[in-house]
Amino acid sequence: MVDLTFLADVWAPATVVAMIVGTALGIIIGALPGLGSVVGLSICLPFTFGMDTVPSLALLLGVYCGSVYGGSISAILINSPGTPQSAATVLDGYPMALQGLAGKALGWSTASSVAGGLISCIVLIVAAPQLAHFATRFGSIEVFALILMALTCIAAVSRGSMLKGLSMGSAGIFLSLIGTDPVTGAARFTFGIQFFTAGLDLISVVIGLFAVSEAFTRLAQDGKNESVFSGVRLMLPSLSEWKGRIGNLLRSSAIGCFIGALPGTGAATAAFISYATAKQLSPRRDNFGKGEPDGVIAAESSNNAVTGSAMIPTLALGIPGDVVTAIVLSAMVVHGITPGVRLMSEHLDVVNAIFAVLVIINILMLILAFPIVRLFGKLLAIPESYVMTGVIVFSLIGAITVRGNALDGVVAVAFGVFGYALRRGGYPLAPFVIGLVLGPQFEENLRRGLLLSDGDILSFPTHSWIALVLFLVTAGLILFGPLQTLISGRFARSETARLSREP
Amino acid sequence: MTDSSDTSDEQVSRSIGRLIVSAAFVVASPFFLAASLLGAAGSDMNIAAGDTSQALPHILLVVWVALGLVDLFREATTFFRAPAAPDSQGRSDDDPVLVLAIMAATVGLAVAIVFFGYMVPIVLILPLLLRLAGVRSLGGGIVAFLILGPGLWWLFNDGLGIRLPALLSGGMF
Repeated sequence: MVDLTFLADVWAPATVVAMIVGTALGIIIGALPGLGSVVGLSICLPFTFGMDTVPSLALLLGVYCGSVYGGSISAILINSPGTPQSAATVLDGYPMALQGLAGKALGWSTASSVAGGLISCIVLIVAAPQLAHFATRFGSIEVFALILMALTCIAAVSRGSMLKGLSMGSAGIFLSLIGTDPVTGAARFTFGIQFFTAGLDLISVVIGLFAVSEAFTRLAQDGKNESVFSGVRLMLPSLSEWKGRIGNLLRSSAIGCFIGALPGTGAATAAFISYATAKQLSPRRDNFGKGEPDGVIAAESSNNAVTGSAMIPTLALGIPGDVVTAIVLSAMVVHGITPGVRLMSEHLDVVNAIFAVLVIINILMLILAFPIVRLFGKLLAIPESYVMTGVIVFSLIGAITVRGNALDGVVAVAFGVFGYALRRGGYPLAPFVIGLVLGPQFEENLRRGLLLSDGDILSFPTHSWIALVLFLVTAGLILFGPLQTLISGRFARSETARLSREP
Repeated sequence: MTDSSDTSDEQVSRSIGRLIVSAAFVVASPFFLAASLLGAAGSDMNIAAGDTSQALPHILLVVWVALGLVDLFREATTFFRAPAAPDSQGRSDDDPVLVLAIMAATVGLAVAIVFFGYMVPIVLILPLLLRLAGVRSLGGGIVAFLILGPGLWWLFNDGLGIRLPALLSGGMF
């Protein structure tokens, strides 16, 4: 018998308002170029501190799902993806708009986004409890191996070099250890400053690295958009128009679900892989890039399918797959919920509420898309200088209100400067944040594992078959980078040689 | 002709910027390591508890510096082979003076909030920040100032019940 008491939380007025406001804000934030999911979540975080657990998660999940969809609006109407996740949507969405089919393109994108999101919710509801059940077999060594694998995976697939990714991951774990050692009580890297004994606040660091540094970057550049289609009305495709396209929708959603569950890959990767697959398999492949709805369906269904499946490792294992789920996870911690392998057994009501909220948010996106698309022209008229100054002020307030300590605002700004420099240096930020989130668990499980194995770390891989598989995958991922470089180098050399032989 | 040499100069300066960031990122690790080993980092040793608290941080710092050095070497090799290589991220150049000014104003705002609460620094520094951000319209600037300054203070303190730092406890300033 399923316990349905969580529905009382889901249908509480505060949760309903949070879902509507969060989804609407998410679509708007996603549609404005430069404000992605992470900036949106950072802006909304301070509002959740005074709220109950379920409404606060509903607000954040609404912003997350809404922003992934919202990116497609600007991708189609102004040829500028609002979020990186919607970059593939530009390829066919904007040509459709140029042909006078902007409303139709938005309709395909909305229907595909909602379908992809709902499919991923079903996958989440089915897969997360199974994975959580399996995860009960995980001891300290297995959890340590899992975190190591997740960090390596994120570093391997991060933008930029794997070396930079791995060093950022190490730096992230290191900074998470600043403060008081939980086992011995010793102060670590506090430099005698009282503020550091409690450690760095994760939310302040994330706000600084992403929102503040993004604002610095955008304010220092001149963001100009191409032509804007104003006064467009969203037109959903009819059932007959779906004929011959359902397979593409299901396949792209499946790709999105699979990629979303892998740590570090994310919606942008899913969208491009789905787009490339659809381009190979679609009977209308010749029209791709010229305004083919199949291209919009592939990109949008897969990037929204990531939203639900990215929550699978987050809810089942307490391992965030990307920065967005790391923020959701840290919001859970603020509300007294400890994510991890026991989340499903100890807070089943909250997990069920998250499932229900995700389904409702995806349906809300369909309803809210109509008025927001009509508003889009007016929203885009707000100059970036106002929006980005607002991002800085909201970020400061967000950082300060997490622990009620004004020094966290200084930390956020310091990490904003740090994040700006790292962006300029080509360093990926995601491994750093994931390292920061997983660092305490990483250390705790390593030290417990060392106790279990009498200090012999070399015996970790032989502790169980699960540990062995996880360590082997980690080793494979470490070899992946150099092998890829070697193969692409050889390919480039052979291509150069071939071209030089040609007359 | 001038345009292409300008672009080339910009690319060289971007490459130099990347090298400097990589070098600074590597230098941070030995700083922490040295501070820890010299006892300057406030890293207490609890010998009675069979101390292992410094083991992982030290391993991570060594990994950080080792990977960073290899990456720095790679960056330097790339730079000396092709100093004007285009940025793989294809980003446009930022205005360094403007970025530094915005950063300085933001740091000033954050630090001032620690000592003077939210309201006084926001009233003094927000107009400067808006100006630096490129707001030129007086009407728009006043509306933005009222919303982001006193408006947010009111929203958080009275609307949401989340108290922002104040100079005098319980007061507006």
